[in-house]
Amino acid sequence: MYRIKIDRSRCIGCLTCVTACVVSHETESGDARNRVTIDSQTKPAPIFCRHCTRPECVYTCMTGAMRKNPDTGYVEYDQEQCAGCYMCIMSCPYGILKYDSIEHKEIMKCNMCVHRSKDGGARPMCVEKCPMGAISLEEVQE
Amino acid sequence: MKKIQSTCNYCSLDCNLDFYVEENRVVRAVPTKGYPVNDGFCCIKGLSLDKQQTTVKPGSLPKIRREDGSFQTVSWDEGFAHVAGKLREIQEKYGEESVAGISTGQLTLEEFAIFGHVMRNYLKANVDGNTRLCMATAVVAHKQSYGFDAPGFTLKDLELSDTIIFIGANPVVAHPILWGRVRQNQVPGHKVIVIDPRRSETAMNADYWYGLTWRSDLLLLYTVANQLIEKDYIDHGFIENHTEKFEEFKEFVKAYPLERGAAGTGLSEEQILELVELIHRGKRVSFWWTMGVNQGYEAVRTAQAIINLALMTGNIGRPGTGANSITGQCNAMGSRAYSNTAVFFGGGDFTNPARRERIAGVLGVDDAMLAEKPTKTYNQIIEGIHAGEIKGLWILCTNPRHSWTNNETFASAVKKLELFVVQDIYDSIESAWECTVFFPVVPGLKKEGTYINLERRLSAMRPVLDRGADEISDYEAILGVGKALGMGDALKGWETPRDCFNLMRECSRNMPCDITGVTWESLTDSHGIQWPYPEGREEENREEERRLYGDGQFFTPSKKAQFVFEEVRANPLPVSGEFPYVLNTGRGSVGQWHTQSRTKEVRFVEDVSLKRAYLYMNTELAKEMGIREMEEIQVVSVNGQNARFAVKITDNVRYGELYAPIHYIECNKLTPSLYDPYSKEPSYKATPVRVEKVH
Repeated sequence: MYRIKIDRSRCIGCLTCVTACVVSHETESGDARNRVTIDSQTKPAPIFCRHCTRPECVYTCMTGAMRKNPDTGYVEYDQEQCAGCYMCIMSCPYGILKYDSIEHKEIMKCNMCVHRSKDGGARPMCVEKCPMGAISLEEVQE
Repeated sequence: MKKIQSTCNYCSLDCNLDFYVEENRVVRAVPTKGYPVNDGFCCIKGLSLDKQQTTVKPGSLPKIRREDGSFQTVSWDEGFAHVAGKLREIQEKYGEESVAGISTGQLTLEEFAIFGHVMRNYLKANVDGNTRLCMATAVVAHKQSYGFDAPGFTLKDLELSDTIIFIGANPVVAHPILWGRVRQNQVPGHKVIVIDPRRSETAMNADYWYGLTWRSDLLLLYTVANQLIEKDYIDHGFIENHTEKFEEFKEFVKAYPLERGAAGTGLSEEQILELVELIHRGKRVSFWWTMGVNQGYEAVRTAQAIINLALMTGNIGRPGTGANSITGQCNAMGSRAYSNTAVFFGGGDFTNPARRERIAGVLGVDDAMLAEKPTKTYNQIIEGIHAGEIKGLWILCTNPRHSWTNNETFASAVKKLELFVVQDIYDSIESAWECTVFFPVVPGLKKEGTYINLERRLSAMRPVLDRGADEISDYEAILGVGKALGMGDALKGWETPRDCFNLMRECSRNMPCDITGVTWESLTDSHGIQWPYPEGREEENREEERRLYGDGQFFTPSKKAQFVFEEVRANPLPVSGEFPYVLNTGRGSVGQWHTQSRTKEVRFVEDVSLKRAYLYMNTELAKEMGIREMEEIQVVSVNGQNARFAVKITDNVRYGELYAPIHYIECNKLTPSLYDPYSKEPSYKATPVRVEKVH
């Protein structure tokens, strides 16, 4: 599977990745599925969904709305099945999950921009738009 | 759900966004697809425009300071009457020029215009804008070299150029959408070159970086010009047919041999020759400059030295070429052309009888009502307050307590005012600390009007959100004061921004920036329209991304561009034993707006922004001084002020240079009262300082 690899030494905190995330999901909501903060040394720290090998959000989901796709390795979210219990938000070890800012009903979850590709593969706009090459797609074995 | 297309009013790109609105709330902001500037993308500031006034919201009625220092909220009519009365009273007591205004590059074209009409025409007051801190240099350079303030390029040129040279420009941080156009460049083998003392974020992404010594840019440009001539890398046909004073220039730059250039810039002779070859090998060479050039003590000549390179190599007017000024603010061009400050509405000198007649006719007023001379400049206004000559000041949509060079001089000046009106969307800006009147106005999402971007593109701001009770726009605030002043029929035809736009169209007729073919309706939901766009010639100007000077015709009386040049001056503020380092300044992040006034509510931005002032220091210097990462230091400036900064250690600034982001008020506490002699733009970028450890 592909993961988004972060090179923090190149990140300038320009938030182009956050903008790209919102733009890519423009038909869904105005929220981002990633964020950038600064660490205790004031260095920018981009935070993206890791599509974990052992995803806590999937383990704690009561309804199956969060599921690990065995073929792609991506953790997928289905709002239709979501009960809005927020267990995934509470359990995410990276603190990346959140609910949408308007209705508070949808979980803002990275889908690797599979909706942008013809074959359902990863095509994250954040990676395409990063001006510093601080994020890239990396193939990993789970 | 409603969808409204409008213009982002942050930087000079003027991206368009589609705002989706439900129950008077923006639920989504989507960068407009197909819009020539930003085609479906934008930066975080534009995307977050709807966050303004969501957590911090001043009242919607004016406030007048009482004698005990507290504020009294009054009705708008009372506010207008108070300000009008005080303006009159001060003028009667101290003379016409005892009141002044400081405007901005961020309002709509119509708001500049009505402010210029009320203040400059009717009251005969001085009004300058914060564009003086930003674009004045480019304006003067254009006027002297081209005959009119007419930058000729289109953003498309970034995609068509094979040699893109950025000089004192850092678009990765300052103009991300412009940098996006560079990334879209598909010309095989194209080169990106950066000339900047700092290894900026743009330099990190460039093919070539020339890290010259601070304020040696003019020396480098003359040296390069001399080399191009010596090697006969010049376009004789273009020079002959379309320029003047080349022979004088050729003689002049002989005084700038390679050795002198290398010694003064800190670059090697090989590096300079490499740059010369890059320019020569390029078939479509484009030069792009911004604040690193504009904000210097010999800035106009530096900008013109860039123009000279483009002229002598024939790199102007063709696709992918040009000596191109990147503007700072969203409506800098609207301010330059329609604020009635340095030139008439639509251009032309205040002493030009034909222009006076035309403007008076369009506005339906007597010639005697029109302004008679260019405004006093920004620095003269501040100095005038200190000298006791100016007693009333009205500032709008700007924050000079923070952004003015040597900003303590603004702080001490405003204490001497009898009337100090601050008009803004936030009463929390530093400039409002000492105001005697505060006019709260609505942000751009609740306004209508016209913006002009850096490539001369007019675009429409249209109301996205409905206004609440008592909420008014800048336009209405200015109109209200005008009425309270008793302007009467002099405000006929100025009733709405749309009326004002129609007046400005007529003022532009037959000028280089002719927009008589543009209508209010045609701008709505459009792709924007570049000037010139004269009535009756719409069909020939149908192309959406146009450039000027394709015919080699300029706006001078001879239709030829001018080589303008002048001997490199000794630095008026050199480093010394007492002040051995140089403080450079500029943007520090994409998300923070200049003085942070408009982006403090944006959570995305705040999450990644430092809460205290900081600067960058070279690794070696920090090591020598025993300074650790994020240690607080005191910086003492040659201007007599000092301020504290946290230190971020980097190899990207030179050993003797510090770099401070402009977003913190400490930065311009240290910058000097030093200006370019022609543009009066402050020399922000190279202040001698010393560093002291804080124990």
